[in-house]
Amino acid sequence: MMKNILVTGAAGFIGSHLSEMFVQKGYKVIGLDNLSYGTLQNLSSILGHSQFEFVQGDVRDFKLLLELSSRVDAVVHLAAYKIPRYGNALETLDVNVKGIENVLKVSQKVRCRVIFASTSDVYGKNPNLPYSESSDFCMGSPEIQRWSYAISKILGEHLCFIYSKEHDVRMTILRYFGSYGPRQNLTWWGGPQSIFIDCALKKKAMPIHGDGLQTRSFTYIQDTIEGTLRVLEREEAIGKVINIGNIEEMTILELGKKIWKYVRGSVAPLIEFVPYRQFPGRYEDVRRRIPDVHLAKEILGFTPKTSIDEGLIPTIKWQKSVTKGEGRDDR
Amino acid sequence: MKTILITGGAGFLGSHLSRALLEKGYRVIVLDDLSHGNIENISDYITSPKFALYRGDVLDKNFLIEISEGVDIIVHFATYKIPREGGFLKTIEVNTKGTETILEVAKERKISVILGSTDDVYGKNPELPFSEESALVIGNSNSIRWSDAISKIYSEQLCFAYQDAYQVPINILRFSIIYGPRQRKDWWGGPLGVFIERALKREPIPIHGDGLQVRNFVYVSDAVEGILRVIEKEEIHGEVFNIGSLDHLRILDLAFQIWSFAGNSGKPEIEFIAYPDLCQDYEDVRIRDMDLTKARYLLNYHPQIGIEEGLKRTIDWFRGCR
Repeated sequence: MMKNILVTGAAGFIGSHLSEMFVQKGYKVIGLDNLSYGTLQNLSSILGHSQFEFVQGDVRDFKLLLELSSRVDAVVHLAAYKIPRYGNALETLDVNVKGIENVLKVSQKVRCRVIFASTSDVYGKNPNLPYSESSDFCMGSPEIQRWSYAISKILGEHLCFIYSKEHDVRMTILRYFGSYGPRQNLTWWGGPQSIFIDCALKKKAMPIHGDGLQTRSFTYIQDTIEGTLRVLEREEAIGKVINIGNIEEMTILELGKKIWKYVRGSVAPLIEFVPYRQFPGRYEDVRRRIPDVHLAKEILGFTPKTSIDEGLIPTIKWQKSVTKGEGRDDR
Repeated sequence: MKTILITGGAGFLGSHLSRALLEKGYRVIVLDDLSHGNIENISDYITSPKFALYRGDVLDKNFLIEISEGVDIIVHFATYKIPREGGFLKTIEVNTKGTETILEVAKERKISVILGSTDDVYGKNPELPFSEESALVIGNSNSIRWSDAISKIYSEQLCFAYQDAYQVPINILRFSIIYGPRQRKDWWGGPLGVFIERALKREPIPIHGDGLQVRNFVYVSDAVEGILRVIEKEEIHGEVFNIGSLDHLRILDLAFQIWSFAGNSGKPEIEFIAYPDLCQDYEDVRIRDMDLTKARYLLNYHPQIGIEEGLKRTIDWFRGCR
């Protein structure tokens, strides 16, 4: 029975929820985060708990990672840079690849399991839906920074497979499809729903990129962490790539309208369409994105169930409370 | 006159480029660990006062900083390219960290960079021919056959990221299969070298898969011409160029042509090698061909040597080595 877990990126959105759940389930958790994007506030419910230890540090710090991982049975590697849309392509490429590389190197030494958080973005603009774990990756031109996130994750996945084949590292790759929920990041980093809720709370126009008819599937955080937990509990998940996502598909525009309705009732939504050409540099969006979740069902006995309506309500409630806390509530 | 540093400069392409640059009056510095490059490749100009060879590792940043004093352009060729022979981890490491080291040096020394990439980055994109804007479609990561392509795709992204963040001027050249005299005779040099060796010995020719896969082949002097044009057009940076030829042919037909140009009659015996024997999860790309419009317009690049002429010259060189 696994009892000790290291979570990298523990102070982030997914990391904090996962750490909380591990603690609740009786695991001992070491949470590593450099607090560049994560916050200690996210961990407030477990900071000081006897089963939780927080360490401020960088995943690129090999010695630190080696010391921490020598005390655990598994590393859940979530620490990553996400959105290069507004710059930071270099950080994204660097942090994401060196992070997983270090995790794999230490796990080769201490023989702990590795869970690598990858992303639905690796499927890129592949037009063949839904995406199964063996679908092709379809990237755009290197001049377009947005691909640096997906490319860094693909390279990370390759490193996982190579360490698995050449050094018997027991790894599992999870491709998360757009998680949302309380404690999500309040910028674009946290996804469009985060921005839309903020706008609706402040009665500002919701910025919709392109025509808003691009679709996504949104996975409630409880489902994301449930899937992750099951991976740790099942040996069959070793050596596998598994999609973790909700199959409910919706356009970005519908999402905006829905959020507005939950926040503002019947008042007509304020929407501002932002053409892609207004982004700095070139940008390329992905039109549709839906996971095939058969493998998750088969291996983990699990598929995300929380509907967008069920998930949005607690998310909006939370976001309202923190927005108030900042004294930025609308008058 | 400018000074050009070529990493992997003792290799096949690097040595041809060095000679061409020296002939035009450039100073040339070569860095090579001689793991796959060969000193014989550069023997005829190794004593030239405008030439210097350093044996070293492309991951050794301090050494690179030292030897790049006064350098105007780094042409980065040092690479591992066949993971099924070189080790997968090694392939990714040399390719990605090598590029990162070069970009770091370029940033500190304020040097521009030309990255040698490959048409393998287009992967199995079914829309042909590939233009520089084409999507890069690669198979899933559990097929490690793609680790070379992803390491190149990553390197390309890294180039643009350094250009954006630190104004390092970069250009990327995606080559098709380059062949010609001094190419390697094993699989590292592509199918062509192996085919010629076998044809000259009148031995069966080994072909991976069914031999109906199509590839674009470019003669080495044309590839070199493409690089020279990028070096000479100082105002061009931040561009990706396909550098190939108009010759695309099936691997099987390539084998037949080589067989007859080698002076043999009839058809060769073909030894088909199934992919599962080659490498687990191997996925081949059926057709790979490139659109040269961009290089034609911006670089005035026009490949001169057709496949027949190119093959004859290459076979002559192989004969001379025997």
